[in-house]
This record gives sequence, structure tokens and C-alpha cells, in this order.
Amino acid sequence: MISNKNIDREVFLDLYELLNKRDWISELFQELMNLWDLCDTREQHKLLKELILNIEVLDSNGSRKACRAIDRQVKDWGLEPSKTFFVAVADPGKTDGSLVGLQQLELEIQPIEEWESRFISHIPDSMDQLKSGNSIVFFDDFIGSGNKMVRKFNWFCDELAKKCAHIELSSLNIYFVSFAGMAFGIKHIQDTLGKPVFTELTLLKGISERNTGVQLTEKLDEMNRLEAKLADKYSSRDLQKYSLGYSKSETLYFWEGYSCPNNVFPVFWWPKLKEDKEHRTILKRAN
Amino acid sequence: MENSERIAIKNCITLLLDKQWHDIYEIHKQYRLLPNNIFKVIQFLESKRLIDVNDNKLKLCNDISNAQVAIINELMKNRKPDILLESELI
Repeated sequence: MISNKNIDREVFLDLYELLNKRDWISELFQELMNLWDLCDTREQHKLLKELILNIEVLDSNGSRKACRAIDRQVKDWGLEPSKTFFVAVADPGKTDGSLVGLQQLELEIQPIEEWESRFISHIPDSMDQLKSGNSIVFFDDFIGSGNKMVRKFNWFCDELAKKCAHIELSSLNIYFVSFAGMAFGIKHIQDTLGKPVFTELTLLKGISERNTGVQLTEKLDEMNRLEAKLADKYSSRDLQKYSLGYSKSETLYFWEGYSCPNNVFPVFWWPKLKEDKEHRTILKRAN
Repeated sequence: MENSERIAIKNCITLLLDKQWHDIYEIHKQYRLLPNNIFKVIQFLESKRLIDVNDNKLKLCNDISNAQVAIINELMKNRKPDILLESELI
């Protein structure tokens, strides 16, 4: 394709470097150009390039590797298939990354024949099978702020009290695992619930935990200026809630082929600009 | 190979026939090819060992075999665009 005008040298080299260093971006070139067009300053281009280069992509090899790492961790924790359940944290009736990830885990937790009946899709379904002394491994494909895991654990406790009053919560061994998670979210779960958490990938905040001083302030200001170009509302979502990512997570991560977490900087996935203009984004998110 | 890719390759080879080092940006400036097209062209030419790439510069290889010359000749041939081959008017 021929461009209708010459691109600035610096912009050209930015785009070329991204294509050269990140395979996943090659099919998203129009989206990348769209993102570059959103910028007013060279600093914004530089910030976006830095962030995109730092995005962790979980591809099929990566998810298999994560499943195997979870398998090793389960063995290290000494969990036995006869007494352990993996429970996805998906809401009943909803399909999300935790269910897809759970299906992949089923194929990698060894030996398969001993573990295959120990995977449960929704928390309420686990109640019929639980016994005192069992271990529960709560699974989600990604841990952002950690609030979801804490909320799901509290829901589990409520369900247990209602439906399995004969089982003492203290008799159960609780664990949390995920393919990837934000370091601050993992810490939040550990501090709040005091339970072991394992993730194959542990991620730092894209700006705040990688910069200090003036550089940090300037980069956050640039990101805020970019976010100011996005529509305030999209599909009943309020941008303010997702500024710098949900819970200010500043996440730079996605699982290839699946909806990106809402913890990711919205500039990469928010599909509307001010005045209801379309924004073709490099990452996609289903509602 | 799509017509646009073939044209991009021809443009690039035309520039490189002087066997001098060229900045990749020069390819864009001269032919207005987009970075993704240039990236694909360079990947293709590298895979055929026709060019040397150093940082953001590239040149045609000094020593190219007869087989590689044949590849260049094939790539440089004019071809009827696919859209004309599909036309009912022809």
C-alpha cells in the first residue's frame, strides 16, 4: 500500500522498530497507525512505543508453559488429586478467560487420568463435592488488582456457610493460581487473605513501577493527555473508572486471541474517541 | 505474492541495484511504501539472502549466485496485475 504523504522519519522508524521487534503487531498495522495519529507530541509517540515494547503477550506456547509451571507448583505444594479441586472464578452462565484457561490446565496437570475429574467451572458447583480437609485451587487466567479473587473467595465462604455448614472453612486449604498477575494485585490477595498465590508471569505497572521522579510525572501526564481524547463513555462504561487501566493497574499484558484485561491502559483498547469517533485499537476487549 | 508486495519488492530492488548502503527510510521517502510493506519486503529479501541488513540500513549482497540473479530477474519481470486477469473484458 502507498501512503498519501511522507511519514516523518522518527515516526517511520518507531513503527518499523515495533514491527521488527514484536511479531504480534504486524497484522495490526492500521491500528498502530491509528494510535500514532492520536498523538500530538513526540513524547507521546515515545511513551506508546516504550509501552508497546513492554507488553507481555501470552501466546499458545506461553499458556502451555504457564500450565506446566502451575503443575510444578501444585506438586511443590504437595496437593493430591483425591483431595484437591481446581475451581475457575467465572460467574455462573458466563464464559471468560478462567474457563478457557481451566480447560488448558486440565491437559497439563499430570497425571491427567487422576486429575481430570477435579476441575470445576463455577464456585457453586464445587459445593456438592467438597469435604473437610480438601484443597481448593482458585484459578483465573489473569490477576489484575486482586479484588476479583478476594470477592470470589468471600462468595465461596458465603456459599460454604449456606450449603455446607458441616465443613469448617479452616479445614480447607486454599490456594490461588493464574497464568499472569500484577505484582500489586498478588500482594493484595496475600495481604488480605493470607493464602498462597502463584502466577507464571508477574507484571509491574507499565509506568509507575518502571519510572521515578520527573520522568514518572511526565509520562503519567502524557498518558492522561492521550486518555483525554477517548470518549468519556463507551457501552455504559465510564472511562474515569478505567483511567490507566481498572484500579490504575497500568497493565501491559494480553492473552493472544482473547479479550484483553480491563486493567490494560485504555488507550490500547477503548474503541471510541470524543465526538463518538471510531478508534481502531491494537487490543480488543469484549464486554 | 500480491501485486502490492511484488511492486514493493521491485521498487526496493531498483533502489538497491547500485549496491550502495541505503537507509530504510529512503525506501519510504522515494516510493511512499508503508513501514509494514517495507518490513515484509526486507524479510523476504533477507530470506533469499539477497540483501545485507545492518541496523536501519540495507544493501544488495556483493556476491550473489546465478540462482539468486535468477530470483531477482523473476521478481523484476513485469506482470499483468491479477485484477486484469480476472476481468471478463479480456
